[in-house]
Amino acid sequence: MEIGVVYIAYGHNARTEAAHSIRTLRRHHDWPVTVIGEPIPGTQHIPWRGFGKPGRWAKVNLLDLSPFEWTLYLDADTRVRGDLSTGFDVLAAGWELAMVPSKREPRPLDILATDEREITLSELGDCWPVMINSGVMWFRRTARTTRLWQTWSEEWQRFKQHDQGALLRALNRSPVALWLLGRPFNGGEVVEHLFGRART
Amino acid sequence: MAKVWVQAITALHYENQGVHCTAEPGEWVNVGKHQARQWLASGQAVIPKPATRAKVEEYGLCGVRVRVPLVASADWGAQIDEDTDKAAFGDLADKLTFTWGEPAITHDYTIIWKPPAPVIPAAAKVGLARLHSFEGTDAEPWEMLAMLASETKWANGFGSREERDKTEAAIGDLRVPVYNTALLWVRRTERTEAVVARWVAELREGADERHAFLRALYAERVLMCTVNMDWQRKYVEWK
Repeated sequence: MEIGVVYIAYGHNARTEAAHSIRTLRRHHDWPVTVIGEPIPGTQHIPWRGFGKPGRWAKVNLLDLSPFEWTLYLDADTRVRGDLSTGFDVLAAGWELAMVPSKREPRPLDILATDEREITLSELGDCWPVMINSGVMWFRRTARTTRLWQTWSEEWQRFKQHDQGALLRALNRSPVALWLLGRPFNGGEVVEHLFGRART
Repeated sequence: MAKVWVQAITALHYENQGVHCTAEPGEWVNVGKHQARQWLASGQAVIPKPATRAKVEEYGLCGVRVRVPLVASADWGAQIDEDTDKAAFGDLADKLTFTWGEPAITHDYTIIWKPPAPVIPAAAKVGLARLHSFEGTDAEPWEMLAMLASETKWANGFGSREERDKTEAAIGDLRVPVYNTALLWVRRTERTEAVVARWVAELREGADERHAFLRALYAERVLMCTVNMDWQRKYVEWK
């Protein structure tokens, strides 16, 4: 089973942050690393033309872009502080996707613009959804995850802003076997997340 | 001027703040109503029917399984009060079929409820709806819906040492969220039947119900829709 790690990096800041993240990853794992977007030395590179916000467009097409059967995706602004094999163990147990819920915001879907927030809450029929952070994801290619990513791409194109609102709407339309991990794995002692550092 | 989101059927050429833009087929564009009406009339764009919220089609397929203690305990009364139990579900009570006993999936769509856990009827209805399909899609809908027991504590913060060790042996890492098992929404499938069977088997042996549920869930890989721990209360506040 080929496993590997994928980053997305467009622009100087993102490449710099991704390079830092990869160095921290290497202290714990020797998995192959692929970068989508712009090249980083020591990694496989997949050039891909951006659209709208290029990093988000790549993320909502990640399943097709990843060269690995089982993938760990890491945001460029993450720092690996511990063992990440837990996520792949979850996939090995038969789950299709492992992710981490975000910390509670002051109000529902706080990061989304007003129109996207209202439409998302209405379509979910849920006044305060669990926001799942897409900065750390383990996934494998299955019929359900293929459908999820297609739906995620469609949903993101409705507003072309943040990808996480689109992910919630996509999950609602195309559920997958999603195992949640605790915040140590995204914003904690295993994966530190320096939110926003990679943006230009 | 109010704007409208439309989806391009053909390539669309328009101006945005003085900049000439092109939207490729399939892309979404936010334009003024006049432009949108022109495109819609000429068939160049469409406003697709948005993914409608799933809804409960037939309440005859829905029921409530009211849990009674498997093992008598001081903090859970042995008396079954059917009227009080039904009243907790408000105007849904007349639509749902109630049964009492150990956790079980009694209907195609079952709420498994352990009184006196609070129930907000409106949220109970939404939970059932979330287990149903969206129209226009053949994607398999969620099989279960459950609230988190905590948003800051993980499985390594609940239960006895013995229970935590058992869960760690089963799922590998205890740094995972734990579910509130007092109120579960369940769609009957082979996987959910297996989860409940595993769970009940452990409950009969006196296991910690939260850890036992995690172990059962992990083993069966159901399509679990996770909601916040105060989902019901927030639902009422923000409705």
